[in-house]
Amino acid sequence: MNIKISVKYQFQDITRALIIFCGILLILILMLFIPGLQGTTNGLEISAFIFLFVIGLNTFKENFGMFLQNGVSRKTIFAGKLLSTCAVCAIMAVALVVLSNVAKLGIGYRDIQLGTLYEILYTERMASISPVLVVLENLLLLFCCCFAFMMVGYFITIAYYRMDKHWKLLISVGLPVLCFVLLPIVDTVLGGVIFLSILRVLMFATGLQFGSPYICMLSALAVTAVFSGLSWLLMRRAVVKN
Amino acid sequence: MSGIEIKQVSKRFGDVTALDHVNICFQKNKIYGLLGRNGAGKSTLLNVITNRIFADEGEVLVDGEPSVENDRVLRKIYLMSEQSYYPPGMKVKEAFQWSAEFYPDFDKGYAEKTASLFQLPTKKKIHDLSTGYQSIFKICIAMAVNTPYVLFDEPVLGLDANHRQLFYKLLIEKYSDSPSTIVISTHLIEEVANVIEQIIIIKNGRIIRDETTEELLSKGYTVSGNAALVDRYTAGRKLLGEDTLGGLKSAYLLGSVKKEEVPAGLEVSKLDLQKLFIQMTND
Repeated sequence: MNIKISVKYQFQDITRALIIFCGILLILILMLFIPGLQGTTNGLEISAFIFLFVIGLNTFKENFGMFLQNGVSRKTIFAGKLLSTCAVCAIMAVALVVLSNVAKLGIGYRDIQLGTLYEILYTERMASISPVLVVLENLLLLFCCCFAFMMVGYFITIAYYRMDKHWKLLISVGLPVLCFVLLPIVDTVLGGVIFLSILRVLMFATGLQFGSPYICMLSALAVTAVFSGLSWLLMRRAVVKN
Repeated sequence: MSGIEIKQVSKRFGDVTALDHVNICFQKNKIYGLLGRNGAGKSTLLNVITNRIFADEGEVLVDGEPSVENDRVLRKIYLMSEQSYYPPGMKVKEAFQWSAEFYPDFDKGYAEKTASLFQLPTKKKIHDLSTGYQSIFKICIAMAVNTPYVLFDEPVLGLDANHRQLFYKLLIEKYSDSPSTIVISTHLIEEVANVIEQIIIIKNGRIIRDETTEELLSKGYTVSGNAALVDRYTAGRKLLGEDTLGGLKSAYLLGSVKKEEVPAGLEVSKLDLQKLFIQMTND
């Protein structure tokens, strides 16, 4: 019983933002129907991933307080979060596929290039499989990536919630310094070994190395599993804060 | 066993011991007053009971079941806390609707009726309400949830005298119609004295009294009259405190009264709970 309410509450909490986001994308896409427009359009999926990452960042504190106020345990809150995220990501994946097809209709024969993430990453594979399979793989890929981005955002917000102000300061300052100052310096000293390794890992994880979207799906699911697990570890002992 | 049993519960925040091996039981269908000074551990105890924070030691059993991460148990308890945990952007009427989802026995009609009695604007967002009306909003939900255990943490915070009176009136009416275990945590002793059946006094995280209001008040008495006469009578007796107004004085004493020892011109009455509380909780 509680799990249903947990899912329902957390799902409706995102619904309005989701509708607004998809509405904005639709308006932008409908602009493609304006005659005489030229250029390149892509990044539909990336904007959706960023949107879901931000949603993940904003859906813990208020919901956590509301649930504890209303007699819902942490495990039920978390289970509800996973299920509602599943639903949101499925809707987003379908919406992205529909919107990109609407965009293609809008472009028609004109000189506008539109590439979906799937088309850009797995061009060769697209030519070798049926269009139905392309749509299915695209849906699955988008679903897995959406899930991963949202859970990373969720983990970050819980981690910040659990940290005291000293840790917050250390992470907020230390992480950017490490990534954008120290790492490039060390990489330069080592002759570019670090970034090359990161690039290789990314090539493998996204499936680009083998031209397979399934590797990317598995990588996204692995990221989801790791960050969901870490989120739960942090959440199971989280307490209300004033 | 039915009721809320708190067994050997301890909770520390850094160097501060908020609860120190607390053992109490809130029995079914009784009204309790959880009294203590600021920082005594009242809110911490209520937060441990409702699983909002975790005890370092001990356990809380509700109707024989542990409360930690137990949905079935947690749905039997509603805590109206001093702090609001409702999303600030949520409207009052939306909060009523969600309460009905979380608590199957929530009486939305009653909540709306209570809101109208307090003139609470239900179309307003929670964060737009004044401190007093935020308390009223939480009172409306707490009175309508119909859970077996309802805990109030400083329920009358920010309420004016009229609204406080209305709250106590509605509370008694509700309890008469459908009894439940009610715990009122407050430091406004005088106001709740006539409402509560059992008094639990907490001091520095320890329970120092757990007895009925009658038992506690029978531990002392008040003597009033001419100041000189009162002074003469109280000499050598255990004095809790005294109030003087012109030539008249009221003295609050511990112990039982022997009427034959009370000089003519002095009036004996029941002990004032607040005076007793101050005496018990003074450092």
